[in-house]
Amino acid sequence: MTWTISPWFVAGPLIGLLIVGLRAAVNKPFGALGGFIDLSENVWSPPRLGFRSYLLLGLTLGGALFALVSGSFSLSFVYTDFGSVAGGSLIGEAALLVAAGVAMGFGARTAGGCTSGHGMSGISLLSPASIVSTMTFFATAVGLALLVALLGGAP
Amino acid sequence: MSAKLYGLVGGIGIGFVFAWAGLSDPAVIRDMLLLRDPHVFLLMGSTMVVAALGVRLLRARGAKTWVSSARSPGRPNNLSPAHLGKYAVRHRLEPCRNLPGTRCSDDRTGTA
Repeated sequence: MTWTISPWFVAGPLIGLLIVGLRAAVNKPFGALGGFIDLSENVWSPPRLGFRSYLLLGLTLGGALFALVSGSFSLSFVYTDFGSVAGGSLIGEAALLVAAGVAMGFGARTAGGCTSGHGMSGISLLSPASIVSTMTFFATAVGLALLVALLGGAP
Repeated sequence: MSAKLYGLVGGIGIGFVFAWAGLSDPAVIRDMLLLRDPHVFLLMGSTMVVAALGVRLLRARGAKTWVSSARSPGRPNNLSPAHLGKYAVRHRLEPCRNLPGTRCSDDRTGTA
Protein backbone atom coordinates (compact mmCIF):
# COMPACT_ATOMS: atom_id res chain seq x y z
CA MET A 1 0.00 0.00 0.00
CA THR A 2 1.34 3.39 -0.96
CA TRP A 3 0.88 6.17 1.57
CA THR A 4 0.67 9.69 0.29
CA ILE A 5 0.14 12.78 2.41
CA SER A 6 -3.38 12.83 3.72
CA PRO A 7 -5.52 15.70 2.42
CA TRP A 8 -6.32 18.34 5.01
CA PHE A 9 -10.05 17.60 4.94
CA VAL A 10 -9.34 14.06 6.13
CA ALA A 11 -6.49 14.57 8.60
CA GLY A 12 -7.82 17.80 10.13
CA PRO A 13 -11.22 16.47 11.20
CA LEU A 14 -9.61 13.20 12.33
CA ILE A 15 -7.28 15.07 14.67
CA GLY A 16 -10.23 17.15 15.85
CA LEU A 17 -12.18 14.01 16.70
CA LEU A 18 -9.21 12.58 18.59
CA ILE A 19 -8.95 15.80 20.61
CA VAL A 20 -12.66 15.57 21.43
CA GLY A 21 -12.10 11.93 22.36
CA LEU A 22 -9.42 12.91 24.87
CA ARG A 23 -11.81 15.47 26.33
CA ALA A 24 -14.60 12.95 26.58
CA ALA A 25 -12.37 10.28 28.09
CA VAL A 26 -10.27 12.17 30.61
CA ASN A 27 -11.09 15.86 30.11
CA LYS A 28 -7.45 16.53 29.34
CA PRO A 29 -6.07 18.67 26.55
CA PHE A 30 -3.90 17.68 23.68
CA GLY A 31 -0.49 19.41 23.70
CA ALA A 32 3.18 18.57 23.49
CA LEU A 33 4.74 21.13 25.84
CA GLY A 34 3.09 19.72 28.94
CA GLY A 35 4.58 16.34 28.14
CA PHE A 36 8.08 17.77 28.01
CA ILE A 37 7.52 19.59 31.32
CA ASP A 38 6.08 16.53 33.02
CA LEU A 39 8.91 14.41 31.66
CA SER A 40 11.61 16.82 32.80
CA GLU A 41 10.10 17.08 36.28
CA ASN A 42 9.59 13.38 36.82
CA VAL A 43 12.15 11.68 34.63
CA TRP A 44 13.96 10.24 37.66
CA SER A 45 10.77 8.87 39.18
CA PRO A 46 8.89 7.21 36.31
CA PRO A 47 5.87 6.16 38.41
CA ARG A 48 5.07 9.84 38.82
CA LEU A 49 4.89 10.43 35.07
CA GLY A 50 1.37 11.53 34.26
CA PHE A 51 -1.08 11.70 31.40
CA ARG A 52 0.92 14.35 29.56
CA SER A 53 4.11 12.29 29.41
CA TYR A 54 2.20 9.29 28.09
CA LEU A 55 0.54 11.50 25.50
CA LEU A 56 3.95 12.72 24.36
CA LEU A 57 5.25 9.15 24.24
CA GLY A 58 2.21 8.18 22.21
CA LEU A 59 2.77 11.02 19.76
CA THR A 60 6.31 9.82 19.16
CA LEU A 61 5.25 6.21 18.81
CA GLY A 62 2.39 7.16 16.48
CA GLY A 63 4.73 9.06 14.18
CA ALA A 64 7.20 6.18 14.20
CA LEU A 65 4.38 3.73 13.53
CA PHE A 66 3.33 5.67 10.46
CA ALA A 67 6.93 5.77 9.22
CA LEU A 68 7.20 2.00 9.63
CA VAL A 69 3.83 1.28 8.01
CA SER A 70 4.46 3.61 5.09
CA GLY A 71 8.01 2.37 4.60
CA SER A 72 9.48 5.82 5.06
CA PHE A 73 11.36 5.03 8.28
CA SER A 74 15.07 5.76 8.07
CA LEU A 75 17.68 7.03 10.49
CA SER A 76 19.47 10.07 9.14
CA PHE A 77 21.24 13.27 10.12
CA VAL A 78 19.76 15.02 7.10
CA TYR A 79 17.14 17.60 8.05
CA THR A 80 15.75 18.25 4.56
CA ASP A 81 17.92 20.91 2.94
CA PHE A 82 18.50 22.71 6.21
CA GLY A 83 22.17 21.84 5.99
CA SER A 84 22.71 24.39 3.25
CA VAL A 85 21.50 27.14 5.58
CA ALA A 86 23.99 26.01 8.21
CA GLY A 87 26.83 26.09 5.75
CA GLY A 88 26.89 22.33 5.22
CA SER A 89 28.39 21.71 8.64
CA LEU A 90 26.79 19.05 10.82
CA ILE A 91 27.90 20.87 13.97
CA GLY A 92 26.56 24.16 12.66
CA GLU A 93 23.27 22.49 11.77
CA ALA A 94 23.04 20.90 15.21
CA ALA A 95 23.82 24.21 16.92
CA LEU A 96 21.12 26.00 14.92
CA LEU A 97 18.57 23.32 15.70
CA VAL A 98 19.40 23.37 19.42
CA ALA A 99 19.15 27.17 19.46
CA ALA A 100 15.81 27.01 17.63
CA GLY A 101 14.58 24.38 20.08
CA VAL A 102 15.56 26.52 23.07
CA ALA A 103 13.76 29.53 21.56
CA MET A 104 10.66 27.44 20.88
CA GLY A 105 10.66 25.93 24.35
CA PHE A 106 11.15 29.28 26.06
CA GLY A 107 8.45 30.92 23.95
CA ALA A 108 5.95 28.13 24.44
CA ARG A 109 6.56 28.03 28.21
CA THR A 110 6.11 31.78 28.42
CA ALA A 111 2.87 31.59 26.44
CA GLY A 112 1.62 28.71 28.58
CA GLY A 113 1.31 26.35 25.63
CA CYS A 114 2.64 25.37 22.24
CA THR A 115 1.11 25.49 18.78
CA SER A 116 -0.76 22.25 19.26
CA GLY A 117 -1.84 23.00 22.82
CA HIS A 118 -3.07 26.50 22.15
CA GLY A 119 -3.89 26.16 18.45
CA MET A 120 -5.72 22.87 18.43
CA SER A 121 -6.84 22.25 21.98
CA GLY A 122 -7.19 25.73 23.45
CA ILE A 123 -9.04 27.22 20.51
CA SER A 124 -11.53 24.37 20.62
CA LEU A 125 -12.49 25.77 24.03
CA LEU A 126 -12.64 29.26 22.49
CA SER A 127 -10.01 30.37 24.99
CA PRO A 128 -9.05 33.98 24.25
CA ALA A 129 -5.48 33.38 25.42
CA SER A 130 -5.15 30.48 22.99
CA ILE A 131 -6.55 32.53 20.12
CA VAL A 132 -4.13 35.37 20.82
CA SER A 133 -1.19 33.02 21.33
CA THR A 134 -1.86 31.08 18.15
CA MET A 135 -2.20 34.23 16.08
CA THR A 136 1.07 35.47 17.55
CA PHE A 137 2.86 32.18 16.88
CA PHE A 138 1.86 32.08 13.23
CA ALA A 139 2.30 35.78 12.51
CA THR A 140 5.80 35.73 13.99
CA ALA A 141 6.84 32.48 12.32
CA VAL A 142 5.50 33.43 8.89
CA GLY A 143 6.97 36.91 9.12
CA LEU A 144 10.39 35.61 10.16
CA ALA A 145 10.37 32.88 7.51
CA LEU A 146 9.50 35.37 4.80
CA LEU A 147 12.20 37.72 6.04
CA VAL A 148 14.83 34.96 5.97
CA ALA A 149 13.68 33.99 2.48
CA LEU A 150 13.88 37.59 1.40
CA LEU A 151 17.45 37.77 2.65
CA GLY A 152 18.26 34.66 0.66
CA GLY A 153 18.59 32.30 3.60
CA ALA A 154 15.72 29.93 2.87
CA PRO A 155 15.98 27.17 0.29
CA MET B 1 -8.65 2.15 31.31
CA SER B 2 -6.54 4.70 33.17
CA ALA B 3 -5.88 8.29 32.11
CA LYS B 4 -2.30 7.36 31.28
CA LEU B 5 -3.41 4.64 28.92
CA TYR B 6 -5.90 6.96 27.26
CA GLY B 7 -3.05 9.44 26.84
CA LEU B 8 -0.81 6.82 25.26
CA VAL B 9 -3.49 5.52 22.88
CA GLY B 10 -4.72 9.02 21.99
CA GLY B 11 -1.15 10.14 21.43
CA ILE B 12 -0.44 7.24 19.11
CA GLY B 13 -3.56 8.07 17.10
CA ILE B 14 -2.77 11.76 16.84
CA GLY B 15 0.92 11.12 16.12
CA PHE B 16 0.00 8.71 13.35
CA VAL B 17 -2.38 11.21 11.71
CA PHE B 18 0.15 14.03 12.19
CA ALA B 19 2.77 12.06 10.28
CA TRP B 20 0.22 10.96 7.66
CA ALA B 21 -0.70 14.61 7.14
CA GLY B 22 2.96 15.47 6.57
CA LEU B 23 3.35 17.50 9.76
CA SER B 24 6.51 15.59 10.62
CA ASP B 25 8.07 16.68 7.34
CA PRO B 26 10.07 19.91 7.77
CA ALA B 27 9.54 20.72 4.09
CA VAL B 28 5.77 20.82 4.61
CA ILE B 29 6.19 23.19 7.56
CA ARG B 30 8.59 25.36 5.56
CA ASP B 31 6.15 25.62 2.66
CA MET B 32 3.44 26.63 5.11
CA LEU B 33 5.59 29.32 6.70
CA LEU B 34 6.59 30.69 3.30
CA LEU B 35 2.91 30.75 2.30
CA ARG B 36 3.57 28.41 -0.61
CA ASP B 37 1.02 25.79 0.41
CA PRO B 38 -2.13 26.29 2.54
CA HIS B 39 -2.27 22.58 3.51
CA VAL B 40 -1.27 23.09 7.17
CA PHE B 41 -3.48 26.16 7.64
CA LEU B 42 -6.49 24.33 6.25
CA LEU B 43 -5.69 21.26 8.34
CA MET B 44 -5.42 23.27 11.55
CA GLY B 45 -8.56 25.22 10.70
CA SER B 46 -10.61 22.07 10.15
CA THR B 47 -9.19 20.57 13.34
CA MET B 48 -10.22 23.65 15.30
CA VAL B 49 -13.74 23.62 13.87
CA VAL B 50 -14.34 19.93 14.52
CA ALA B 51 -12.79 20.07 18.00
CA ALA B 52 -14.76 23.21 18.93
CA LEU B 53 -18.03 21.64 17.78
CA GLY B 54 -17.25 18.41 19.60
CA VAL B 55 -16.35 20.14 22.85
CA ARG B 56 -19.48 22.28 22.59
CA LEU B 57 -21.53 19.11 22.18
CA LEU B 58 -19.89 17.58 25.25
CA ARG B 59 -20.69 20.70 27.23
CA ALA B 60 -24.27 20.79 26.03
CA ARG B 61 -24.82 17.20 27.07
CA GLY B 62 -23.18 17.80 30.45
CA ALA B 63 -21.11 14.73 29.72
CA LYS B 64 -18.91 13.18 32.36
CA THR B 65 -15.49 11.79 31.61
CA TRP B 66 -15.01 8.07 31.13
CA VAL B 67 -12.40 7.69 33.87
CA SER B 68 -14.03 9.82 36.57
CA SER B 69 -17.25 11.62 37.29
CA ALA B 70 -15.79 15.02 36.42
CA ARG B 71 -17.74 17.20 34.04
CA SER B 72 -16.43 17.99 30.59
CA PRO B 73 -14.84 21.42 30.04
CA GLY B 74 -16.59 24.58 31.14
CA ARG B 75 -17.02 27.75 29.20
CA PRO B 76 -14.40 30.55 29.29
CA ASN B 77 -15.67 33.91 30.49
CA ASN B 78 -15.87 36.87 28.20
CA LEU B 79 -12.63 38.76 27.77
CA SER B 80 -12.34 42.49 27.32
CA PRO B 81 -9.49 43.95 25.25
CA ALA B 82 -8.17 45.68 28.37
CA HIS B 83 -7.39 42.30 29.88
CA LEU B 84 -4.82 41.54 27.24
CA GLY B 85 -2.46 44.39 28.00
CA LYS B 86 -3.14 44.46 31.71
CA TYR B 87 -2.60 40.83 32.45
CA ALA B 88 -0.16 39.76 29.78
CA VAL B 89 2.28 42.54 30.66
CA ARG B 90 1.85 42.73 34.42
CA HIS B 91 1.74 39.01 35.06
CA ARG B 92 4.98 37.86 33.49
CA LEU B 93 3.56 37.31 30.02
CA GLU B 94 1.82 34.10 30.97
CA PRO B 95 -1.63 34.71 29.52
CA CYS B 96 -2.77 31.14 29.83
CA ARG B 97 -2.24 31.20 33.55
CA ASN B 98 -3.34 34.71 34.30
CA LEU B 99 -6.05 35.88 31.95
CA PRO B 100 -9.48 35.53 33.51
CA GLY B 101 -11.68 32.94 31.99
CA THR B 102 -9.04 31.31 29.86
CA ARG B 103 -8.72 27.58 29.73
CA CYS B 104 -5.19 26.38 30.08
CA SER B 105 -4.28 23.04 28.72
CA ASP B 106 -3.57 21.81 32.19
CA ASP B 107 -5.39 23.12 35.22
CA ARG B 108 -2.56 22.35 37.61
CA THR B 109 0.38 23.95 35.91
CA GLY B 110 -1.21 26.07 33.24
CA THR B 111 0.71 24.47 30.45
CA ALA B 112 -0.31 22.56 27.39
